[in-house]
This record gives sequence, structure tokens and C-alpha cells, in this order.
Amino acid sequence: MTTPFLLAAALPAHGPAPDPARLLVDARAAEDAGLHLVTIEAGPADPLLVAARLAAQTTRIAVAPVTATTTTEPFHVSTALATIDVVAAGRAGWVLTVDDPAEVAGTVTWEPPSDAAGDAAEHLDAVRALWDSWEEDAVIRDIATARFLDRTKVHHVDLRGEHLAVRGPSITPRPPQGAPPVLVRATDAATLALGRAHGDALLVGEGALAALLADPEVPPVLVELAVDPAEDPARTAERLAALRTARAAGAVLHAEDPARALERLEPALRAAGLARPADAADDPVPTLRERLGLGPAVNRYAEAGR
Amino acid sequence: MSAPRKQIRLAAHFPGVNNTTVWGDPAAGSHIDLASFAHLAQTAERASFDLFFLAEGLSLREHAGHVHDLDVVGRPDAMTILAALAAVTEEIGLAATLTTTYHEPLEVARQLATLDHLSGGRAAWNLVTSTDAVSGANFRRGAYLPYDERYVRADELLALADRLWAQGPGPFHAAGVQVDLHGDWDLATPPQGRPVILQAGDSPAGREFAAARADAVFTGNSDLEAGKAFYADVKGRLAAHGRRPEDLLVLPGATFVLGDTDEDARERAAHVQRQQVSGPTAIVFAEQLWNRDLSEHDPEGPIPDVEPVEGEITIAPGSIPARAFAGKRHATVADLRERAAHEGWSLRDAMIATRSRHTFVGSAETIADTLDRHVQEDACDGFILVPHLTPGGLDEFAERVVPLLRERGSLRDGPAPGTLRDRLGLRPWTPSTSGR
Repeated sequence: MTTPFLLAAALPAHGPAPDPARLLVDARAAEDAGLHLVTIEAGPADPLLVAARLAAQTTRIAVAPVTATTTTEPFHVSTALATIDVVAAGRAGWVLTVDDPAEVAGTVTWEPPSDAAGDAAEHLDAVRALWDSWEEDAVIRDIATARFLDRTKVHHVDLRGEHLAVRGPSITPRPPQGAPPVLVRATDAATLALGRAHGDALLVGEGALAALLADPEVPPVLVELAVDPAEDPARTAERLAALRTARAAGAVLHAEDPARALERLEPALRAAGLARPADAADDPVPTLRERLGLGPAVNRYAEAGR
Repeated sequence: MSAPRKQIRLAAHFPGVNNTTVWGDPAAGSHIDLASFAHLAQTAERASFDLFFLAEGLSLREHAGHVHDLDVVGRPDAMTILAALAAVTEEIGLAATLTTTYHEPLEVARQLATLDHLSGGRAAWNLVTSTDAVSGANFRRGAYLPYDERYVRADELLALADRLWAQGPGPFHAAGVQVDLHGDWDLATPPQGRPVILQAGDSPAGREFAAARADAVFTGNSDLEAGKAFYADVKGRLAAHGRRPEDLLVLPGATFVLGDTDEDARERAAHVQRQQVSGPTAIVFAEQLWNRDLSEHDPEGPIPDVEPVEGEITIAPGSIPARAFAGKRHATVADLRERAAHEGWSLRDAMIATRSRHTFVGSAETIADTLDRHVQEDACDGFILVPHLTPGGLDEFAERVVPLLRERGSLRDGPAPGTLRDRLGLRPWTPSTSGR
């Protein structure tokens, strides 16, 4: 089966002073142009907070902040993403990146692990385990027994890896999608291997696509594409259509000024059937998992208990 | 001509994950959905509150070896939900509690500056430190900081954040004992210069920290006389740091129950207290005091005839009330037995009487009078009000008490320009006004 081509726009930070009005212009431009996802790129502003604000101001487009594992706590990343998924009613994702430990030395009060990809794998497992730590029906509000919670459905995760340990459970209930999709940005062999093994989707450069798609076990692959403002929009749409033909799951468009670029591109994208058609307002909005063709998230603890 | 009337500063505390929050009432809604947060924040904003306040807890409470299941539990990430609220509110301050023990210095500085930019100058931070090893087990460094070092980290973390907010983009180096960091900072100075900083804690060290570094202090002293003493004490500490009395606001936390008359309010308060202390909750409270299993006792029956157990806290490790009774369990139980015999209390009645008190109970007129009196007589500068229902717990207060406060000229009516710092009457922050 084929899943629909997922078209995303990368929203850059635009300078040292985050401007909520400008960020919203970019996000709305992507939503109005019929794109399916915006990634909130790393920059001076915390992408998790920008994503939360934009999630509250959009209704159809999915929102995925770019957050590195190397300098963050899985516990905080897990609860923040669960919160964005609540605000977005199932439209949240995570673009997982891995920092070069040498570059981030001295920016956190622990020693960044030299095996950053190994640390990232454990971090990602902890984030997902914390999402699973509350079963979907853990809150019961049972007046008869005076119990708010069914404590048998809230679990310690007790992860003890080589790089980090997390006890759990989370403080935040299971997010609406169960597990918001994790899109691993592959920038070298280690992150490519990480994404293939653990990602819900991979973000790669155009050159890496063919080799990846030769493997039937590979997760959905999205291609990151720089949009040249001088290029004819019809030509950009052709390049995207070619990626679709090559069985890429989607593309992430990078432009310095996304709002302007998308305004130019919109007619060509719609003509090529690459953008979402203007939906009827009462259509149910798909979750990001659904847009990526992922099945319902399985809860490791719920399954273990049955 | 008299001096202009002192203005009441109001903050709305989102109902917490404890038994004060009533979840069994038909009006009780979601504690997670954005709509609940938006309802409470927007109600507070319309009612001229200056702040919307979120607490933080980084582990679930446990009792008798299990996750505590009787109270509301679970909450979104505070900074993330505030960033979403910035989009659906215009004027109210957005305050999150963040512990300096389990958050990274640059993460705290970046998130608060980001929220300040995203909200047009409305970010506030309630700075706390954490004691519990249970939360520590959720983080990379584990339960790693003894008491003294926690304060060193808090102090160094705030100093670095202050520096980064003031300097804007550029290199930095902090060579502290706990916070030894360097790199390139990339964020512009936030619209407020410095987000508004609240500090919670009534200890002498906490008061001194607030006097030197904070913009507001969140205190438990909501009683008129105790409040006056606290107020005089902390305001008196400011001059030594080169600060004016109005540079630090004193905001006690307070609960309230409104009624049509004072008598009606007392009846409603008694009903709310029974909702807040169910039979099973009364047993949990008693176990925190007795430090032993009392699950076989009937909460509607007499005070248990067994003796409390001093020493290691076994049934509720990590529980603040369980720790607070240490060393005085026998005396407290003896006193409880005497009062129960005199009043004819069941165990549950006794737990309600001793563990569940509303700060202000009365008609709208009575409550408006009381709040205003506390502020005008310098027991405080305002209140952090904690409603017991989500999301409608402030609706009645906004409809009935707020107009009375406005009529007296003690609460502004209509929009106020500027940043949160401007609205609170706080000076633009510079190193010289913080004592540093």
C-alpha cells in the first residue's frame, strides 16, 4: 500500500528575538498552502515552546519541534511533547537530532556522552516508555471508591541504560496519539542507523534516498529539500513529484522566508496534487501518525499486562 | 487629599494535584486539556488578575508503596502549556514553577526568555529547589544534591540567567561551583529585561534570598497578624540590598469559599471540606500522622486506639506532612483524642478539622472586605488564590468579588498597558536593583 506524500515546511527562527507574529505568519502560510507538517527548527527560541504556541493557533497542520537528545532530559522532553500533542489534539511530532558532544561541552551540568548516538537511542526509549507509563484509561474518577486513578495502570519504567536511568512514571498522562511520531534527522552514519532502527520516520538529504529505499524494512523516508527562491515553482513541484514517484514518504521544504516561498509555490503544489486539498471544515483532522501511515501506537505496559 | 489606594495584586493558581482540588463534583472538568487552562486564565484576565500560576511536581506522589490514587494526578509540562496560553490570552502574566535542582541552567534561561518573547513580556518564574530523591531518579544526574549545595546551584543558576538575559547574544562563561558553563548565547534580551521572579519559602534563608533577588515572594502567611509580621520582616530586609519596599511584592497563597451570606458560605465550605477529605483520604492523612498502616480502621469511626510510631517514615516517605509530624506524633495524637472526645468527632471529622481549612469563607462583601483589609493594612500586597474546582473555580469570584474590589478603587478596571513588570509596578530590572 502507499501512504499519501507528506509535505512539510521547515520554520526557521528568524533572528535572536523570537517574534510570535512572524512565526504564526509562516505556520499559517504552510497550513493555508495545504502542507501537512511544519518543523520548528532549532534556534534562539526553544522549539518546544514555539511549537506549543503554534499548535494553539492552527487547526489542521501538524507541528514537530526540532530537539536534540544530547543536551536534554528525556523526562522533560517526554512531558513537553505530550503537552504539545494535547494542545494540538494529536498533531504533534518530534524531529530528533543528535549534537556533536564536543560542540555542546560546557553547556550542561553533566558530561555529554561521547557516544551521542547511543545516548540518543536510550533517550528516545525513555521518552516513549514515559508516554507508555500511563495507560490510556488510567484516570477513572471513581466516586464509589474515592479513587481518581487506577494505579495498576500507571507504571514505573525503571530504565537503566549505559548512559542514563529513568524511574518514571511520567507526570503527564498518555498523549492523544499514544506516541507522537519521532522523525530522526540523519546527518551522518550514526544518526542514519539510529533512525533506521528506532525512528518512526527518517529525514535525509536527497542523495541518501535511493540506497535507503532498496531496503524494504526502512521506516518512511522524508527528503529535506532547499527551495531556491529563483527556481520556477513548476520545476520545484516536478522535483517533489519525482520524489513521490521514487517512493519517498514526503519532503521537508527549507526556505529562508517560508511564507513567501509557499505563497509562490502553492498553485504548483496544488496542481501537482502534492498539497492537501482545501478540506471541508468538518472533516476529522488526521493525527500525524495517520498522515505518516503509522498504525495505532502500542503501549508496552498495557500489552504486557494482558 | 489622601494617598492613592494601594492596589491588590491577584494571581490565579491552577488547582493542584492534592486533595484541595475536588474532582468528584459534577462541575469538575479536565486537568489536562488546554480548554481548562484557557478558561481559568481568561477568567482571571477579565477579572484584572496579574498572574496565572502553575505549580510543578516531577514525580507522582506515593503512599504505602504505591502511586497515590485518591487525588487529581497528572499535569502537562508547565512552560509548554504556558506557551500555548500565550496565544489565547493578552495581558495576564504567565508564571511557572521550575526547580533549579532538576532543570538545566541554560534550559531555564532559554525557556523563560522564549516565553517572555512569545507572550510580549508576560513571563514569570517561581524559583524553587527540590529535596526529594524520588524525583531525582527521573533525571540524568539522579538524587545528587545535599541541602546546602541545592542553594548554591539555585544561586549560581539565577546569577547566570540574569547575566544572559541582560547581555543578549554573545559569549559567556560562568565559573561557579555547581554551575560551571560556557558557550555562545544567542537570544535577545527579553521584553521585560528580566522575567518576573517569584520565590516561595518562609524560612529566614528564603526571606533573605527573596529580599536580594526576587520580585515577589509566595508565602504561606495568610493570617492578618502573622502576615503583618512577615511583611514588615521581608520589606525591612530590602534596604540592605539597595532596594525599595515596593520592589518586592508579598503574595500569600489562599483558598476561599463564597456564599450568598456568611452562613451560606460556611455551609458550602463544610460541604467542600467533605469532598476534599473522603473516608480513604482521612485514612491517608491519619497514616501520615501515625506513621503506620491504619487501613483496617473505619474513617467514620473513632480515633484509632493504637499508638503512633516515631522513627523512620515507612508509610509515606517523601510526604511533607509525614515529615512535619516527626518528633511530635504522640503529643499530636493525644491532643487529637482529647479534642475528638470533646467535639464528638469521628476520625474523618478530626482530619477535616485539622487538615482542611479554607483561608477565606464568606459572602462576596465579607471576602472583598477581608482581602482589601489585608492589603491596605500591609499584611500583604495581594494573594495567590487557589480555587478548588477546574476549570470554573474562579467564575464566582470574578463575578461577585471583583466588582466590589473595583468599586473600592483597590483593583484596576480595564486593560493596563506594558509588560507584566510594568503592571506590577516593578522597576525595570538592572543588576543594581537586585542587590547584585
